[in-house]
Amino acid sequence: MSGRRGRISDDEINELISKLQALLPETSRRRNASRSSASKLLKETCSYIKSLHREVDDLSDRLSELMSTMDNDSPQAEIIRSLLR
Amino acid sequence: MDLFPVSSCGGADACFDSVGRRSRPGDELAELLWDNGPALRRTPHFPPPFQPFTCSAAGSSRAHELSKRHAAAVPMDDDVGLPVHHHDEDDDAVPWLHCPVIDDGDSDTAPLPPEYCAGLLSGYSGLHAVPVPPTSGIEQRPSSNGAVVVPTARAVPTETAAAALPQPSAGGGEGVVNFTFFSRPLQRPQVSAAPPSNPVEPTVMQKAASRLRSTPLFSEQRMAWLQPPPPKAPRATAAAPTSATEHHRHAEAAAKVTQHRLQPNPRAPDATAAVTTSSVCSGNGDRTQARRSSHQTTAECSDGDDEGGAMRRSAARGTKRTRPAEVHNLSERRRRDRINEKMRALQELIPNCNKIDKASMLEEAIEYLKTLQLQVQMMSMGPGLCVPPMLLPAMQHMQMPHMPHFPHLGMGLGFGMGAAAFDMLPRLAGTQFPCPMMPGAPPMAMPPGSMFGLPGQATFPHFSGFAPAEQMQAAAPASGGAAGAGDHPPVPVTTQGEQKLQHPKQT
Repeated sequence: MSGRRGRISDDEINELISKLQALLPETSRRRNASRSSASKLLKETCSYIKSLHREVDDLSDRLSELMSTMDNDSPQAEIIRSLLR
Repeated sequence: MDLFPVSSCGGADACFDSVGRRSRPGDELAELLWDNGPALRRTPHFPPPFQPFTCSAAGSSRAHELSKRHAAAVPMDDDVGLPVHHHDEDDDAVPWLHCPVIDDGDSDTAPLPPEYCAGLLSGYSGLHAVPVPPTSGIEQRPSSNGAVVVPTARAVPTETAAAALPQPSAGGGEGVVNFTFFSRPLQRPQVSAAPPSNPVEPTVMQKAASRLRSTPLFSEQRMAWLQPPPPKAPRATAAAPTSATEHHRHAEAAAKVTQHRLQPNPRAPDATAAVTTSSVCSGNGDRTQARRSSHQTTAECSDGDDEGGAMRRSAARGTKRTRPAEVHNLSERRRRDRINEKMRALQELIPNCNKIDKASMLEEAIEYLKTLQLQVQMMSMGPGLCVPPMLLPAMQHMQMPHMPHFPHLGMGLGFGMGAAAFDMLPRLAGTQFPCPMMPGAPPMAMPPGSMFGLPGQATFPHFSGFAPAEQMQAAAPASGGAAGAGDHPPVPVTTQGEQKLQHPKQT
């Protein structure tokens, strides 16, 4: 593992990690002390992605419901369909 | 479990306690009797032909063989003489193990390399003598006997254990002589262990008893490499139980046995722990491996047990690394394992992620995360797109031409454009509107206009329809997406009304 790190360079990893950190919801990330632990960060990312997935699913459901209420020929329907694809 | 129906081998896990093996006193005795002399083995089921010494011949033949091959004494089949079905695995290690040791699996008496046995045998040499004078021999080396007894419990079914442990009273009195032989050692450390874990220990004990020689040899062997062979007696005892445990309830027996072992020997805990671990591990999966190379087993176990086994192993070895460095390595390894585990989980979440190196995986994760966020924003805005036309039917014909602007964003350009559009909104909103965050704020109507390059005033009517959606757009990125997403659906409807009202004001 450390060998691989050498090739990739720790700096890159750190940079990526900070980028990832920036993307994550900033809730309770004021103190950057322990949160920045790599494993914690990864864990947060995983859970965040999962929550986003859930949200997407939920929104998809809502959109499909909406689509059923409107005529399929309208542009809105197309928009929604595009969103649902 | 009955390793052998006839209980010839007392089962792999025959522990000290003979309770488990009580069922077959006769067989067990037969096993035991090998010590005294060839004869007694009457276990019919034992497959006679086993190589160097017929396992079927029971321990007696084996015992003799052992004495014969002193130096090369391969760990006698744990089950010694008993139809070691358990030892099937041991075959590779020790040809004579073909004896279908009843123990399934296990074999603690796994065929240890001769060198192992040599060490053990040294201890055993005394034991060998024992068979002849069973009692006397045992007395001399209670520890070794114990070890022997324990590991070879397999061969010695309950009876042995019973004999060995007066408490379990498993076997009958048949092997009285033998039992006393066994009992001594058993009593010592194993005895204490035996009572607690009846099922396991008896087996072990039994096995050990039957296999006096074999088990201790190999168990000692294991211990030997773990630590500089300490006094054989303690080692043997410890080893024996450990090996025996493997057969069946290694966990139980091992723990118990180990405990005993630990007490007498401070260092033993490490070794025994390691051994136990290995035995446990081996028991779980690869008994043969464990037997074969306790060393390896420990390693495997440590892998399985993670740091525990490794630590113990290292500790047992002692000299290889310093404790602090070891600890540090272990913690480092633990940390890395955690990170790797999370990375793997992340990789699974990301679709079509075939990167293995961390950096690219992280990059992909970042991209995917952005995409997801965008998608969520867009979808939350979806209803907004449709709502205006629905709420403002009058404006529809006017909005229609302008609708394509948004569809372009949403459909044709995919998320990329959407992202661009969204990105623009926050900036515009920030500069032109005091409250870009407010989804319903009338001022939001402006940005869409500027975004599309349409004259703000001229397009106001459109924006009434778009505004809510666009407001959502602006709001969404501004508010960080996730937060606003939830609000969007309801917002457009309400904003619509506001928009209409406020439009005249803006214009």
